[in-house]
Amino acid sequence: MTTKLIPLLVLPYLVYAKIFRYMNPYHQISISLLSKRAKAIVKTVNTKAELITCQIGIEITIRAVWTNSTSTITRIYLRSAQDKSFSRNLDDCEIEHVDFQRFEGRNLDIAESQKWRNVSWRVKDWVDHFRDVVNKTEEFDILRFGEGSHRYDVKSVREIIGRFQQLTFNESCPEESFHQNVLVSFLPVTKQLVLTRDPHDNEIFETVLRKKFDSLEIGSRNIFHCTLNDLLKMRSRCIILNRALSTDFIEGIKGNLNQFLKLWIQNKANRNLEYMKIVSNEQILRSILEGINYQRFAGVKEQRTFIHSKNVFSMGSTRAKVNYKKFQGGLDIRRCDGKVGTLHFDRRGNCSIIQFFVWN
Amino acid sequence: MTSPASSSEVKYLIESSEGNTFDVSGAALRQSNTFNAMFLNIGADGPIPFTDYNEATLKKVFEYCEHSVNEENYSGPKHQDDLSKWDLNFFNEMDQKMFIDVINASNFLDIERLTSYCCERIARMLRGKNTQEMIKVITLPTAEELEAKQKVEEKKAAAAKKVAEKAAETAEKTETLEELPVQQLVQTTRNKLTRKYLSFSNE
Repeated sequence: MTTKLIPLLVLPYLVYAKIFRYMNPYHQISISLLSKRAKAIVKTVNTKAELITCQIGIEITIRAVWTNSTSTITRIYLRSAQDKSFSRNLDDCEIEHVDFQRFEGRNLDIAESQKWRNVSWRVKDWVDHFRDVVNKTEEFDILRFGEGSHRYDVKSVREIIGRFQQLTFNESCPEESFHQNVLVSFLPVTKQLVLTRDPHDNEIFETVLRKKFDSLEIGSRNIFHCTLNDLLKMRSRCIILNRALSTDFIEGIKGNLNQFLKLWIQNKANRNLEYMKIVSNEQILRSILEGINYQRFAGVKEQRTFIHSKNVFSMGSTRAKVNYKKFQGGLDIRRCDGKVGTLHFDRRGNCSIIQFFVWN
Repeated sequence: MTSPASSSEVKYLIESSEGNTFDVSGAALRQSNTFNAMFLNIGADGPIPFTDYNEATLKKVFEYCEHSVNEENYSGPKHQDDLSKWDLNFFNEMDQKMFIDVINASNFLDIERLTSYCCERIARMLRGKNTQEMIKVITLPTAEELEAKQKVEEKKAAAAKKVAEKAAETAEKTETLEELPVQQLVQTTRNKLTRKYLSFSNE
């Protein structure tokens, strides 16, 4: 062929749909920036991303992952403000440039990248564009606050981001008061919450505990000194406590976990609970079952599949969330209303893991 | 249409936009799902009119079909690297305009193998390019082109509507014919009863 110009966007739908199917999402998104029509076309043929996350930090980072293991990262670099004041409206920030990168599989090397400059778009325009073309118009899967995010006005962030599934904080997000501001502003629209610090430091801890999240995950950076009282206040469907327990909680004088299970059997503890996972550096002994009637599941090697009512289980930090979990064996206990719960003990490295599945 | 003894040797006459006709073997033509749907069962009395496409384009398309007659059944697109020397020559000797015309014709005739190869080829041209480089490869449609495309789509929709209306009309006529004897029967019975009533009244 001599000339190289392709009238891609005036070809019949079936043809360009097929062409786009042979293309990588990275190239599809590159085309989507050519014109409004190009964007509309990409939107109709682009496959839905499996996961899309947005991180608010010094720059705004949007990461999208597809089932074919392709992922893209878009970094929106903002021009630093003259006045250096905090609480800047995110949408008023001037954009320095935007980096767009493609990754393949688990390889951390950049497969392809490009830089866009001098585009008169605001942050909201970029965020909306990306969410649109990866067909995740309704919401982000994960909204993460990282280092430097405290310089933006929380309300302006909420206006730009809109809806999302999971709210989480990077360990590098330092400002405690900012954490609190984010929680106050975002809790009403948060379905899944991940807190990396001990929430006891936070003034709205009580609100966090009592809110009915699809999933509440606490701990990882600091040990969360969870008490029986805290556990009994929680109303979430899925509770994950990482490095969350002091020895007192597990095997202390009052045997908090043992008490919790006894109250659960009496239907006096978190009736919404469908799944609980406790990870501890301390060894969790089966003595927490003292005084509890349990039955060992007969088929020890038989695989059991637990289905949660919401997509709360991660397929990995970079993959979509699913609603099922597979395990083997376990100890079954029965609640007074007939509901069955299964306790499953495991050890990974130095960590003890207890999982508690409540069957529907 | 000529119809020699062996079905594989059946030749069909194809009419292009210039009004010219040329022969295509039945085996080659059967790779077109459009042909299969329209003419395979009912046959064609005269030349088959594919008058939206010029002779050169149609000849190119059917040249490909003739060549791939003996290839195994199509099972997904081949990677361009796996294309035979003949295939590569076939694509390389076309200029851009012819290539686009061939895609359009192949899409209309629904020749899956050829359309897929063409689409993969375009996708390959765009691979590894950033947005700035893509601007040089992809021509963005002008308002006139978009208007023309819309007109073509409207024309196609109108034609489809006309066909549907005609089909509905034919179906309605058939229905009426089927209902006629029943209506006649009802009317005859009604007349008989009226006559009977009148005769009673007279008595």
